[in-house]
Amino acid sequence: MKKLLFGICPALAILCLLASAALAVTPTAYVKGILDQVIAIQTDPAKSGPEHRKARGQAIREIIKNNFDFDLMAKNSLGSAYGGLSSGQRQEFVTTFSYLFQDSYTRLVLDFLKKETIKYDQERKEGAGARVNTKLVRTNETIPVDYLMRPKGDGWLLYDVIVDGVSILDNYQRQFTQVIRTNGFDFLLKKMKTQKQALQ
Amino acid sequence: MSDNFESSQTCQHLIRGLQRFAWPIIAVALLLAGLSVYYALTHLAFRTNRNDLVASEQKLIARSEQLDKAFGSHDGLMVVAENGHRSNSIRFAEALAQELRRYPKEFPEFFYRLEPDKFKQWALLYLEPKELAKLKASLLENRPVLEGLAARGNLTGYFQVVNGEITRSMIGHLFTEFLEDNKAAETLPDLSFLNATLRQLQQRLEGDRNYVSPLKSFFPGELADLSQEGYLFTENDKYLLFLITPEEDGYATSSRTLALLRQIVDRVKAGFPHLKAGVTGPAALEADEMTGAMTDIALATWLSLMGQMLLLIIFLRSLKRPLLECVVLVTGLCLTFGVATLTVGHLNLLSMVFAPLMLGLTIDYGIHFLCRLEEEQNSSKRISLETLAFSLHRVAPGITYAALAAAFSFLPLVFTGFKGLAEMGQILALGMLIMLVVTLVLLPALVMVSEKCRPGSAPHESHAPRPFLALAWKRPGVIAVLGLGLMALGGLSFTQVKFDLNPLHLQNQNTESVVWEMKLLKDSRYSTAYGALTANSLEELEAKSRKLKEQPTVSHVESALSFLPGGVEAKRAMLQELGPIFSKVEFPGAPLSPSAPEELAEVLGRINFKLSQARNSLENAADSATKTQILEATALLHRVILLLNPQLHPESVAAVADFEKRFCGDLKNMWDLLKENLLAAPPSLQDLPPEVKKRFVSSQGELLIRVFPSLDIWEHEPLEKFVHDLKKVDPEAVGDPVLLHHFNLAFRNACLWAAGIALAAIAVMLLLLFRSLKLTLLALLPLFVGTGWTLNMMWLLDLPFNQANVLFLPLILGEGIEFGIIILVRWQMEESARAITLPASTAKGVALAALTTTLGFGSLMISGHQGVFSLGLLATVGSLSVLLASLSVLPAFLRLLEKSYKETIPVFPQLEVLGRRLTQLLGWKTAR
Repeated sequence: MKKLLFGICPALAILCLLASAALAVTPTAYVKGILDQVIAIQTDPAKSGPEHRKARGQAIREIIKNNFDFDLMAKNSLGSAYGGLSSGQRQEFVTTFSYLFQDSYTRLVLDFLKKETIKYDQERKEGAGARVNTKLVRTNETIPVDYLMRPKGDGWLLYDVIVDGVSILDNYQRQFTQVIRTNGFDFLLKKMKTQKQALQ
Repeated sequence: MSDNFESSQTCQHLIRGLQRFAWPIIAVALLLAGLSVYYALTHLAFRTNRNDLVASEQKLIARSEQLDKAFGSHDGLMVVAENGHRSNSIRFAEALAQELRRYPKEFPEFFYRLEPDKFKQWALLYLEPKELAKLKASLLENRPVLEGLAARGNLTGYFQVVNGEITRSMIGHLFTEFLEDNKAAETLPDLSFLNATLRQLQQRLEGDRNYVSPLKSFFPGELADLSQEGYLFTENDKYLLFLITPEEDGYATSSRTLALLRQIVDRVKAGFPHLKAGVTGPAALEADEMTGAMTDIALATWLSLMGQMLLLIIFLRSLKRPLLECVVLVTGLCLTFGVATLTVGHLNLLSMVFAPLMLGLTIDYGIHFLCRLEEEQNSSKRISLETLAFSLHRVAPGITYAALAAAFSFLPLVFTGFKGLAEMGQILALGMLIMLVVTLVLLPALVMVSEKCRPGSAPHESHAPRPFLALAWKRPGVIAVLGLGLMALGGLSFTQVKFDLNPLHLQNQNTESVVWEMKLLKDSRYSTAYGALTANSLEELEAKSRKLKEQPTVSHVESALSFLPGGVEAKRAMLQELGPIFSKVEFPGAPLSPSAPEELAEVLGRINFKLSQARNSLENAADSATKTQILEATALLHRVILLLNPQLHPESVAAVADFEKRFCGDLKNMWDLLKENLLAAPPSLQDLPPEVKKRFVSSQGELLIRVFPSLDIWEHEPLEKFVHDLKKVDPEAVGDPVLLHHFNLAFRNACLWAAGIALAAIAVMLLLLFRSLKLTLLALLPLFVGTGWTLNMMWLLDLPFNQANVLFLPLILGEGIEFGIIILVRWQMEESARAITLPASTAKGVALAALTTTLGFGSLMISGHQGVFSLGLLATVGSLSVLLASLSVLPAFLRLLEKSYKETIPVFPQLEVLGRRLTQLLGWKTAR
């Protein structure tokens, strides 16, 4: 029994150490980690050129897929309309939204993030989550890009990116609200599904 | 055989009178001629207006004069500039205005621009509905930009707002484009305002202190920059119009003023090498026509005189007698000028040609006398008094009948009711009679004095005359039939010859005023001639304008309404929707906090980042307006960001501050203008500027409508349609096209009527004098045959009648009759002449008369004025045709009728009695 306890305790201790090590990833480090992966893909000589854009895109998409909280984003993008949906509708919406967002964000990354230098500015708490301010730097130009995230398990998940003061989530919310007001949720979902089919 | 001329008491008295009074006659004649010339030079006026050709009591003229009085007679002259470049034309207009201000007496008024400042408060109402809708949409769409700009109140703030809009557009396009209905929607908003601002900023940073408002790209150009507005351009913007009202004081003044204006225009044009400009307008067209015609006619008169003298010298083989005839002609012409000044007082566009016409016609009288004198002189070295008297006695009847016939041919013109023709007819009729008297009195006196005629030792013996061409006239029938056949063909030709009623075709086509009138008409559907209607109220004005615009012959309509905005209610409703924006947005006149160059550069850098990305993604796309804008924007941003570096460009701080101040002020002014527009009540007639009101609103409140044709109204058929459409809307419509239409038809009909009446009058006169229908018809034969041949030539050469050469008809009457009378009188009076049909001296006289007349008319062909030229051509062809007919067909008929002459029974016995009494009164006997 003692031997077992002595065996379990170190294991637990190691696990705790490991867990605390995971919890110790700062928001900035988290964002940096993602951006470093992305830049590595974008600057990989083996994957450079327009002929490899699709391959780069797929790799980047994978990173996006693993690091964004689509449930939260989908819910926030619909605003108050989300509460009126059935679970089936919600599920369908989240799936479709997730697909479309990944596609769009992949294109954003492919077009805007190439050989820029990224400066990491401040990091601060924002409600339950965090906000990391960065700057994309070219020779004479900088673009501020802020990342909003919330804790998920030991890590973080992004739920919004603010490019030069314009929130992607706000954009979705504004556009979706307008469409739902004029044509209804079903119309919106139909449009999204049509777009998804076109992209597949 | 000698005729018993001594029994003629009249001739005896004449000879005695000449003997005693030759010198006094010459002296008095020359004195009267001198006085007449002086009187004419000081009192004779020139009237160039076509209205002066129509009787003033006519309803149409009265109405025109009424309108002139009510609205003033404006804009007689027009300077037209061909608009290669709008701002260049505007600078030319301003330079011209500056020059014209130095001559206030000659150019008391000119109108070339409506001051836009006076209309600023209604600027939005003057926009086209489409433009206003576009502005409204632009303001609503850019409301966030405007609100952001107003809140931040400086240049950096403006660019931050723009940056935000660009970012939002890009994000929206990337993530939610699929929701947009218009798939072709651009990724970015319209960058024209951004580019315009960057351009101005760049220029300022490079040291250029001139500021051009970039707001043109945001607001309609007419609002953003009023410095280029208000100028009078044609609808298609091709020509700039500069209207001038010159001082009016008759032709002499207007031609001087026109010449001065052209000098000024040339002087100003020298500063604009690529600009084309010229002077036209109703006053210029009239003055040019008159000046051109007068110059040509003066030259034609001298050429005619010299040419005729040369012919006389050649034919008469003498210098003395042609000189005597020259003196007679000049004296007669001077006296006619004096009488014309006394009776009429002025010359018009028609009557000014009387001098060469008179010379051409009346030289014949002297020629017939001199030719007969030559025949009677035979081989004698000196002329006796008896020979002189005998020649005068023999030739006087023919000359008198010819002059009377010529006077009769012009007299009916006096009764046409057409002032222009009436005055011409009056002058020519009087001129014929004056020349007759001068020829019969002065010429013998001059011959007596120059040839030193003395009474002969024996009575004058007349010898048998030599025949013309010594022909036996073997087949007179063939010639007669041929002649009549061609005459009949002439009747057919008359139906085929057209009548060209286009008055511009009469003018010298190279005249500046004609060239520019045609350009305006062809390129801009704008004519200096327009119809004029009136209305008594705004409602009536609107109704008439509407109806006029529906007419297919109407190009556009000008009235006070043209200067008031249309569709006001609908536009005000549109403007009301903008109320909330204007109430919430307020621009500071000066920057709230000055922008630092580094701060500005940072914002511009962010914009450039995104636009560079957009440019890269559009590289393979087809050309589009967006791509062009993006390319320009990125180039400008790149340059401006460099210039904003204070280390490299220390002056950038001051430059930015200066530009920012002007930009903010500009924006505030524009915004305040728009707000003012929103609140202003629509303009009314009272708000129109004085130069508009005086042209379109009378002191009694009557409103003028100017109607411009869409067709070439200088051609008769389009003119007729246009006038018909005008009258449909208002039967009392007047204006140049209406007058022209009336003038064209009235003139043509008057000439034809006068010719018909003259022919009838001459025929009655001949019937009275010859007392024989057969002889009357014979006298008319050269006229009919010659005219018929002339018409054949016109048909062959496709030469139309026009308003000028239609005068040929009364002219040819006088001349054609004259040759017939001269030949026939001698044939009737003298058996010796009948024996050979046509004596050589008579034929010589007729030929010389015809050739001098041809020369007189032919000299008109030197004129650049196409109307005068065509009259000269037609009259030349006509006189040669009449000559040929006189020397061929008439003698052929005389030959045929010689044997039956004695058996002729008078058709009208009463006329025979009257005729006999007239002959006895004149003191001539009928030859046996």
